[in-house]
Amino acid sequence: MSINSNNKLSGRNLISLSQRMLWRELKAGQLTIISLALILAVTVATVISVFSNRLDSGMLMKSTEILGADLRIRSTQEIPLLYTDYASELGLNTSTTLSFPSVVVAGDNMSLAAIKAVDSAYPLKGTVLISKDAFSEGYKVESGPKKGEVWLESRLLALLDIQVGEQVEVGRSLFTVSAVINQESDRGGNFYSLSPRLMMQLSDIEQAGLIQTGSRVNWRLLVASPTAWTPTLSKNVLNEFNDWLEPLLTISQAIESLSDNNQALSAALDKARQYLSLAAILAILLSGIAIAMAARDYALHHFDTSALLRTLGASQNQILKLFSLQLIYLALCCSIIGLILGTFAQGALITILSGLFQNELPSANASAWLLASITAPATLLGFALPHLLSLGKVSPLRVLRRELEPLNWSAWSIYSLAMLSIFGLSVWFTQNPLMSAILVIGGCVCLLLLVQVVKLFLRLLNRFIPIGHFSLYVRFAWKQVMKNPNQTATQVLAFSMILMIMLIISIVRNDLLADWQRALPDDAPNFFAMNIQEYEKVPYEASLRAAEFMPKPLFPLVPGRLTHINNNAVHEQEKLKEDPALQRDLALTWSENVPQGNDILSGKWHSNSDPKQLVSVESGLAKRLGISLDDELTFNVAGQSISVTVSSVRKVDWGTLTPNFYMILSASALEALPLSYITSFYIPLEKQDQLLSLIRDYPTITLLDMSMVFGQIQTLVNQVTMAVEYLLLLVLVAGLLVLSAALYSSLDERIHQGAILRTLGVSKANLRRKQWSEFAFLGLISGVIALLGAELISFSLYTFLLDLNYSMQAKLWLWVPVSSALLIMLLGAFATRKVSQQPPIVVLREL
Amino acid sequence: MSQLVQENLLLKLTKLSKTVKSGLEDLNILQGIDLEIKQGESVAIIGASGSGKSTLLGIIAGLDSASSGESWLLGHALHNLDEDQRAAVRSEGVGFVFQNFQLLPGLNALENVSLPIEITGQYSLKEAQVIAKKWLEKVGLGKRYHHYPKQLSGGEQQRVAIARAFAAQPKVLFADEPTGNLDSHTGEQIIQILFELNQSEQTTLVLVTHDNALAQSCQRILTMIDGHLHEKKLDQKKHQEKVAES
Repeated sequence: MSINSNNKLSGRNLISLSQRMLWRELKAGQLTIISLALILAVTVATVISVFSNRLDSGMLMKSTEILGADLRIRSTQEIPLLYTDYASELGLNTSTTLSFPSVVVAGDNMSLAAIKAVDSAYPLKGTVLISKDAFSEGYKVESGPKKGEVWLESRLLALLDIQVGEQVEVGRSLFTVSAVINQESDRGGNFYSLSPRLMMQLSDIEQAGLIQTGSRVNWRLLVASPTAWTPTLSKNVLNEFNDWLEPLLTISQAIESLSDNNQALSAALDKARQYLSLAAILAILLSGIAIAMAARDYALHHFDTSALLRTLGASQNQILKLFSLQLIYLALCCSIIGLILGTFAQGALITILSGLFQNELPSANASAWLLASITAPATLLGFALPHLLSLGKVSPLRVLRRELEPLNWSAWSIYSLAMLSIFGLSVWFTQNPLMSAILVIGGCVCLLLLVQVVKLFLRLLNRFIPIGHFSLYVRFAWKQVMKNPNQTATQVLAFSMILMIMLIISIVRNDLLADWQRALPDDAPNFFAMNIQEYEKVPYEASLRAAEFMPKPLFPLVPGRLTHINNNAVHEQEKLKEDPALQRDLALTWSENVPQGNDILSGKWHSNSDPKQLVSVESGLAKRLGISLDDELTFNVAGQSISVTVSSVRKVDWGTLTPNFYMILSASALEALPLSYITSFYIPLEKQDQLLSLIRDYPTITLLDMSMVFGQIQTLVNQVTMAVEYLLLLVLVAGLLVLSAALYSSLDERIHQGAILRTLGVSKANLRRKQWSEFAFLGLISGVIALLGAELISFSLYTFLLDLNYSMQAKLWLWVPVSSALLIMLLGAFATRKVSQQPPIVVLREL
Repeated sequence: MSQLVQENLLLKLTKLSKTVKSGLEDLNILQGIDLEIKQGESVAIIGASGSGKSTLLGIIAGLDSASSGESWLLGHALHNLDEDQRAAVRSEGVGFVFQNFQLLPGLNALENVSLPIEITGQYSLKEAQVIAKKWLEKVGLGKRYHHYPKQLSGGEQQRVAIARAFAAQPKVLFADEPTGNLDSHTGEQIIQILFELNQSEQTTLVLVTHDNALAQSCQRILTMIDGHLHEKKLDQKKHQEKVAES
C-alpha cells in the first residue's frame, strides 16, 4: 500500500476550513490581541505616513511660497528666451523679475532703494500683501503694481517722508506710490539686501532708463508648475526642466534653492522633516514589536491546535497553509480597519492644526497610502513568519505530552528577519538609510547586548544578594524573575524597547524644540541696523534702549575685499575668480570672544592681545577658496592693504538670526581703519510706529526689516511644533497600548501561578505584594535599559544627523527608572486583578 | 505485509526501543518490545506513572518514532515513514481519545466532530456535518451541536471527543486515559459508550489507563514495567462475563 503524504484535504476545503476557524476564533475572542496589534500598527503607520507626507508637501508649499517659485534661476545678465520658451513648452508657468539698487527721490528727500521690477505673471507662488498705509495690516493681491505705479516698503515711505498717493522719481520717470508692500512672495531673507524695497512694472524700466550696460542687476526667472497639476507630475516635469537646464547654465547663472537664501528657515524645515521621519520609524518599530508579541502569543495558543490537527492526519504543509491563510485574512481585515481609522485620525489631526495652515494642506500621494497598506503584511512577514513556521513543526506527540515545544527558530534568525523587514520599510518610508540604520539596527543590537549584560548582572545579583533576608513574597517574586533568565530577558527586551522608543521621541522633541526656540525666540531680533558711525554708536544704542528695543551687541564692520591668498592674486586664479565672495566687499569685524553660534573646527581663537594680526575664517568659505591654517590673506580696505594670518577655521550656524561673519580679524588689524557698526534688535509689532522717529533721527543709518521673513519662519516653526507635539502624543499613546499588550501576552502563566498560590491559602494582599514586586522589578530593569539605549541612540542621532549638541540629563536618570517601575507595576496590577477578584477555581478552569 | 494480512494483524511491533537523552545520560524508556494486535481486539496497557505507557502509545499510533525496531500499523511500516506520511496513515484509519479531551476551543461540538471527516478529503462540508450530527446523536449530544467546549461538562466534552474519534470511521482507536479526568460515574458512562461503539463499529481498541475497571473490560491487558511489556493471560470466560455484566 502506498502512502500519499500529500493528504486529500482539497484546497477549497482548506480555504473554507481556515475561514471558519478564523471566524470562530474571532468570535471566541482568541484573536483579539493580535487583531488589535495589527490594527494599531496599520493605524499608526497610516497616520504617520499620510500625515507626514501631507505636512511635508505643506512645508514644501510654504517654502516654494517663500521662494516665490518651484525653481528660481538667478542671472546677472538678461535670462535667455530659450529658458522661458522651454519651460512654457513643458507647460510650466514663468515670471521674470529684475532687481537692482537705485536712488529714489521725493521732493528734497532721497534714498537708496532695492528696486524690483516684475512682469504681469508675478507672483507665481506665495502671497503678496499690500496696504494703503505704512505699518498697517495688508491684504492679498494677485498681481504686481500697474504701469506707472510703484509700491514701497514702509520704511522707504518714512525715509522719503511721503504717503501713499504721492509721487516719487525713479530714474527718468515719475511714478505714483499706490500701495505699501507688507509681504512679498520671493523676498527670502537675504541678510545683505540692505535697502528698502520699491516694486514696479518691468515694462516701465526701459522708459525710466534705469538699466545701462554694466549696471549691477540681478535677473530672476521664476518657474512654477500650474496649481492643477498633481505633485508627482509637477515634480517630474520640474526635474526634467532642471536636468535640461543645468548643463546650459553659464558662470553668471545659477539655480537658487531655499537654502541659499534662507538658512534659518531651511534648517528648521530640515530638522522638522527629520523629526517626522524619526517618528515614522519609531512608530513602525513599535508596531513591529506589537505584532511580534501578538504573533508569539498566537503561535503559543495554537501549538495544541496544530498538534491535534497533525494527530488527526493533517500534513505539515496543510497546517502551514491553514494558519498562513488565517493570518493573511486577518492582516487583510486589520489593514482595512487600520487604514480607515488612520485616515480619520490624520484628518482629525489636520483639522486640529487647520488654524495654523493658511492654505489647505495638499493631499497625500499614492506612495504614502501604499506604504500604510503594506505595513501590516510586511511587519507580519518579518515578525510572525518565524512563529508561523514553528507552528508547522509542532510534534503530534504534544497531544500526549503537552510540555513538548516545537523546535524554535534561533533567536538571531528571528531578530534578523524582523530587523530586515523594519529596516526596509523605514528606508523606503524616510529615504534616510543612515537614520534607519541608527534606529533599527543600532537600536536592536544595542538592546540585545544590554539584555545580555542584564542577564549577567542578574546572575551576579542572585549569587551575591542575601535574598534570604527578604520577606517570602519578595523572595518568591525574585525567584520568579530568576527562574527563567531567557523569559525574563525577553520580557525586559520588549518592555525596554517600547520605553526606549517613547523616550527617544520625547528627548529628541524637547531638544529640537529647545533648539528652534534658541534660534527663533519670540523676541528674536527683527530689525538690523547697519552703517552706524563711531560718533553715533553711543547715542543710537541709548535710543534703542530707551525705546526698549533690546539691542544686541554692536559689531564693528569694515568692508574689505579679499585680494590675495598667500600673496597670489585671487583674480588671476581661474578656479577662484568667479566666486561670489570675491566679487564684493566682505564684512570684516573683530570680536573678543567666539560669537554665539560659532564653533572652532581647527586652530585656536585669537585674542585681541595677540601681537600678530590674525583672522578666523568661516569653514565653508575656507573650503571653497582652499584656505587653510597659517595661510596669509590680504584684504583691500579703503585703498589700504592689510595682511592677516589664518589662526582658526570656524563653523557658523547660519540658522541663528544674528549677524554672522565670514572673517573675524584681530582688533589691531582693523581698529585704525574707517569703520561702522552693525547691530540687531527686536521691535514688537505694536511699537513699529516708533521706528519713524528713529529713522528720522538717524537718517544715515540703514535699517533692515526682517520681521516679514521672521514672521514666516515663526509661523512655520509653530505649525511644525504643533505637529511634532501631536506626533509625540500619538507615539506615546501607541507605546502605552503596546506596553499593555506586552504585559497581557505574558499573563497566562502569572495568573495561573497566582490562582495556585491562592488555593494554597496565600492572602490576596500577599499575592498582590508578590506580583507587584515582580512587575516593579521588571519595570525598573526595563527603565534602566531603555534609558541607556535611548541615550546611546539620541547621542548618535544628534551627532550624525540632527547636528544638535548632546548632553546627558541627570534628571532623566532619576525619574525614568522610577516611573517605569511604577508604570509597569500599575499596568501589571490592573492586568492581574482577575486573580484576586475571582475565586481561584474559576481562574484555573478558564486557563 | 502479506504476512500481516494473513495473520489478520492490525499492529505489530518488533524489538521496539526508545531511548532519550536526559542530561548526559541515555534513558531507555522502551526496551525491545514485541507486540501483535489483531483486528477487532481490545487491548489495555496499564502500568505505573513514568513506566513508558504513553510513549508506547505515541509510537504505535505513529505520533512519535522509535529509536530502533519495527512498528507496523494498518499494513504500513511506520518506522520507514516520515512525519507527513505517518499523518496520512493516521488520517486513513486511526482515531484518538485523550485524557484532556483535546477539543479545539474555537470550534463548537459539531465542527470539532466534522473536522477529521473534512481532513480525510472525501466529503464536502455539508456531508461531513451530516455524519458529525449522526455521531453526536449516538453519544447523546443531539441537542448540543452548537455548544463550545467551554460550555460543556467534562463528560460531555469526552463524548464529543469519542464522536469525533468514530466519525472518521477508524480501523483502530487509541485512547489515552479516557476516564482520567472524569468522576467515576461519568467515567463509567464514557466506558460504556466507548465499548458499545467499539463493538458496533468493529474497531480495534488500544487504551492506556490507570483505571482497573476499564482495563478489565478489555480482551487483553498488557502491563508496562520499566520499559518492558508483560501480558497477563485473561480467563476468556471470566472476561466475557464481565463484559456482559458491564
